[in-house]
Amino acid sequence: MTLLIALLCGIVAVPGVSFLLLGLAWLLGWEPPEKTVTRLTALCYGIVTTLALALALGMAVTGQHRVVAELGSWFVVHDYRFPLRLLADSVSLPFQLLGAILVGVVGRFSGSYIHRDPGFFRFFLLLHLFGFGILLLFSAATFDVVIGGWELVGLTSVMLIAFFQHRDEPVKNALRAFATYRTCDIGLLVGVVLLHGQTGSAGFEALSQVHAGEATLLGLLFLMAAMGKGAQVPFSGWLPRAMEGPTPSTAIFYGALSVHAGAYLLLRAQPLLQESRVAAGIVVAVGLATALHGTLAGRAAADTKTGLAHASLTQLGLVFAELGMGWTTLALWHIVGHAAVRTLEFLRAPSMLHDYHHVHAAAGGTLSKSGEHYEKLLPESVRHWFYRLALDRGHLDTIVERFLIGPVLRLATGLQRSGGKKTENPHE
Amino acid sequence: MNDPLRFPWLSASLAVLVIAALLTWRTTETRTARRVAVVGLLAALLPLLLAYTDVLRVGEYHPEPWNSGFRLDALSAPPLSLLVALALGVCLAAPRRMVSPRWLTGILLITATTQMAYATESPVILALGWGGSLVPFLVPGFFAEALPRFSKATLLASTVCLVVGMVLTKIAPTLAFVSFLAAIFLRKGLWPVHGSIVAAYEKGPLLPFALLVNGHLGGFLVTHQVIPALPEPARQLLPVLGLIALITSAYTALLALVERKPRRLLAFLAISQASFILTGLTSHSTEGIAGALIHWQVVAVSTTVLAIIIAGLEARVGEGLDLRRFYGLGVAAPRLAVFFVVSGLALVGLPLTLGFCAEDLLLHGTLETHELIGIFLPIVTALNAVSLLRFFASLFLGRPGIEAQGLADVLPRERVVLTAALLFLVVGGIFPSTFVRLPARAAEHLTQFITPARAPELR
Repeated sequence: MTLLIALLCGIVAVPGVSFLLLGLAWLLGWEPPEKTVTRLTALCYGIVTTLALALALGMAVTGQHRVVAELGSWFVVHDYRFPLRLLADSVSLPFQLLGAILVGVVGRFSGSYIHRDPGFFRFFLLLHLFGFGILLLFSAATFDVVIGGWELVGLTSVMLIAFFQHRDEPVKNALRAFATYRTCDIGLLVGVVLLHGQTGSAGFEALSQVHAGEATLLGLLFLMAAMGKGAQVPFSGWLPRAMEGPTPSTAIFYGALSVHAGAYLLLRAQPLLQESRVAAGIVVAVGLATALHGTLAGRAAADTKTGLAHASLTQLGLVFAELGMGWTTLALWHIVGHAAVRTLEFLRAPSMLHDYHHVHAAAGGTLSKSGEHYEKLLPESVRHWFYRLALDRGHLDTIVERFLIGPVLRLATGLQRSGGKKTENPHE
Repeated sequence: MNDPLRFPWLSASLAVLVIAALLTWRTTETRTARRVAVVGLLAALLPLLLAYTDVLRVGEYHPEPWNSGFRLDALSAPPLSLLVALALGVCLAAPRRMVSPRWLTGILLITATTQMAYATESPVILALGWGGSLVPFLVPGFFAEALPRFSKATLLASTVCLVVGMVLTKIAPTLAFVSFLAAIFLRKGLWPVHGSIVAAYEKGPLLPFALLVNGHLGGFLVTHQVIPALPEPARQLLPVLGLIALITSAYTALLALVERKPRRLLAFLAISQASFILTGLTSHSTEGIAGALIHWQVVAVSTTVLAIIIAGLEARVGEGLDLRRFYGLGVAAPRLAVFFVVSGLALVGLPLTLGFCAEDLLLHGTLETHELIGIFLPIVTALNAVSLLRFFASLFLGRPGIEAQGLADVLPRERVVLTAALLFLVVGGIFPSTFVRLPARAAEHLTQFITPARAPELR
């Protein structure tokens, strides 16, 4: 094993091991003190950041564009094998670095922010699991491995939305996010298996062997998965609900990393979008619709975090549109820049509100209103119509409930009644 | 080294179980009976594990010495050892108020008879084991009083169908096949008779019934009797069974979405996920069959863990839990919550657990042979995952109710069992090769019977 491969493996292994150690210690009855947890987190992500930087430096010095770690087969059945292969290249390396640095920063911030919260340890345990999941996702060389990281990221996201579990609302919102994730993940699961069936491999390089007709189907399946994680229209409803989670996790998940996982998937699926104009066109359309929705709904957002969530949606929509157009380099830098800025904004949000109140009071409550610019060009009746649309977040939740959740629940209730069992709908 | 099973491990294990059953039958004090049962099950597990390592080392098909009629192979070794381990877990972790000497005898009887069915070469003993495992549910004195009549009738009918199938195997293979299908249908509670299993979970003895169901003798009948003995009808008609299993899994997944009683929801999830075993076994692909065999283990462990936790919660807070509200029990019992959510999510293919490997193989296998059927699998799994998280959220999250006050977290004896189960699922997920090797070998063996190109030479 060369040094670069060892560095690449270390990026994934370190957070995985720290999660397992913390989890095992807790199961055996020992809950480490806060200081130990924060120090371990700082150490862990300090190491991961160093490893990622060393890997980038090593690749630059040796002139290698790709480092592939072949770790054998995870399991083998007959002629099917699940390859464990990690990759560092010009696409994954910026994401690995971004992931390592931002998880570390958020870990440091959370040490103070969640200090003495009863869920302190739970938060950090989930943060480590998330760190492992997202770095596995960004370091994967095959879509099989991507699924592993992808689902771990989704699960930790849901668990952190429900972090303040003593209230019912965060739990209900977490359930909504989970349902959206799982529904959209069907696209990834089926897409990967179909890709394997058609090319005999689920490696990223297999995408170049896919023919035009199949590329459309696969591209749309991957888009479905990306729409779930990336909160694209019509699956955007869960993102404002996810703001129920603690601010640091909101920053790392919905400002920085988790929410960009969908865009990362489409970056990897570029050969499909280049092969299929239909799929690429739909990606652009979905992205633009999301950008419009985000900017409109964000204007009627009543709190800072929800406003930031919609601002994220707008940028994500633009990133999707760029990916659909094939502007991958622009999309990559857009993601990196957006993730960094949005993390800062989310982390600043609670203290900014505090500062604003101070300034507001100091100015005698006469701070000027902002945000009314282009809207004034529209007739008032149209503005009212847009306002209602924005206030109800584009009616997206209503549409999804009426046309997706409602029919499924009605079918289930009907089947239950036809089986002679009369119960009320637990989702009511 | 090429002489496995030099000692009659299977006979020894079975003998230990029978002796333990007799001892608990004669014991009047519950604590002593529990100790006897636990020691007996441990003593029965040890020879099985030794036999398991023999099979792992050498492989295919190994009769015991002195032709006892028992043998262990790649197919039966994992579920057999697992069943005894699960019975041990159930005996250890069962709430005190649920356990009695007769209850423990019943558990030991289910284990011994199911083991007999797994290990035998003889169809007659298989039928005896199949029927014998139902005795504690049909004969008064064990758990028969609690089991609904519909469930009893269904289980009894499955035994009759099995016997008829065995009689007809040589005379009328197609009729025998249909009869076997009926036996599997009734035992596993496939749609539209799934109600018998759900009623038994709801009103019957939860832990013994979960153990009976997790013997998965229906799936075992497919792999050990139906496919090898009747390859021609199997090739033609097994997809019908797969289709019914798929309908069952989708139907029960939908019902689970709107269920409000914990026991019934557990039953729907168990039936839905267990139906994938049949879907995989009938997929005609090595990956699908291997996935089904691994999923078999995951379903057995995960649903037993969920049953243990629900039984424990019922003992702590009462049986009237209603999933339309939140109980917030996780505040008082965080470890129970973790065991619940990890085991539950392993059932629906959580990465880093053995369930992920099973789901991956099942998906590859079914999509490879029947694309449309294969697409249903992730949809149904997604529905089950949502139901499972709702189940978890309702019990352990939300504003803590009065039930959470003074609630005890996991007890030491529960912790041992639940940690072992969790380790099985997680270690199996991180290092799956060891757990996949035997099912993969068994799957290759089974595929030979139902692949047209290979079938004539086998005949």
